[in-house]
Amino acid sequence: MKLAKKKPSAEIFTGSMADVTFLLIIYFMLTMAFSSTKGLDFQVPKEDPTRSEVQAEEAVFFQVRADGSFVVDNKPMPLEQVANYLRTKIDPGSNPPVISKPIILRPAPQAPYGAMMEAFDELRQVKTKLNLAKDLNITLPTQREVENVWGALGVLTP
Amino acid sequence: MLKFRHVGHRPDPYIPTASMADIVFLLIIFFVITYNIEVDKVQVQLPRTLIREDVPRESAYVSVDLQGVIRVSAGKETAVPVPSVEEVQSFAADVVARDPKHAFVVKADRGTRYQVVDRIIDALKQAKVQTIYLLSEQKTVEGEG
Repeated sequence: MKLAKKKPSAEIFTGSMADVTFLLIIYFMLTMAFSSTKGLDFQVPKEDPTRSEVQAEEAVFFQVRADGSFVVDNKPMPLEQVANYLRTKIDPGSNPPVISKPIILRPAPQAPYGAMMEAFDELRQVKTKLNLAKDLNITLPTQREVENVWGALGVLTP
Repeated sequence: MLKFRHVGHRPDPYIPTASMADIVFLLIIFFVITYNIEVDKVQVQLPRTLIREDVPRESAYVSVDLQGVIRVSAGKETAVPVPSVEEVQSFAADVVARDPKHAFVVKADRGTRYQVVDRIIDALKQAKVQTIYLLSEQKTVEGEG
């Protein structure tokens, strides 16, 4: 006599699938929330051998002092007033308005990086605030450039 | 008073959960696609800005913390510390040699002295990096984030 063999059921147990996937979701959500992947972009200007002369009076000189305060064209100025000041630098007769003068952003070596970023952010917002046709020409010379190039041209003193 | 007794079949209090796995899988697919692997896990207090642009995927990272420790990553591997800024320049030159348009991200604490960041930016400029992103976090209108 043959005994009937008990056949195992051909079902894949999926009861814990939801638990596993929920754990994965929690992991992704937590790690995404803490990662910042945005910032201020800064295009490094290409070297232009045809342009060898820069007139100091053409530029707006924006300094960030070591205490985190701001000086624009040798006048202490809170950030909120920068856009209004730059309104006076709009090219005469330009319509839509354009500021073609370069803005030289020059933070002091001891200035906090956060203050420099506040200034940079404010300058980037000027286009919207003044309805300018194009972005400001913001230059961020490094200390080496100030000493080697800009200083030689008499634009800035290091 | 006549009382009616419920005689019929009473339904079980059962919540169907069969579709839960499908929904959760859809969510997982969304997170996997949009997920950015954080190559640099250094915890810093980023500066706050209103204008923020998306950093391209797999950008190279140069980070500096409050102690002045500089770390670099080409974008895929975990960031490793480098002894000096000169190393940043040779690292960046190597990355640019392979891909001249490779974007670089500078991740620095808002309290860092600017001269440290200045030297890093200068090293990147000398290595002919074309686009630099200065990593920031969102500034709220009140400015207190």
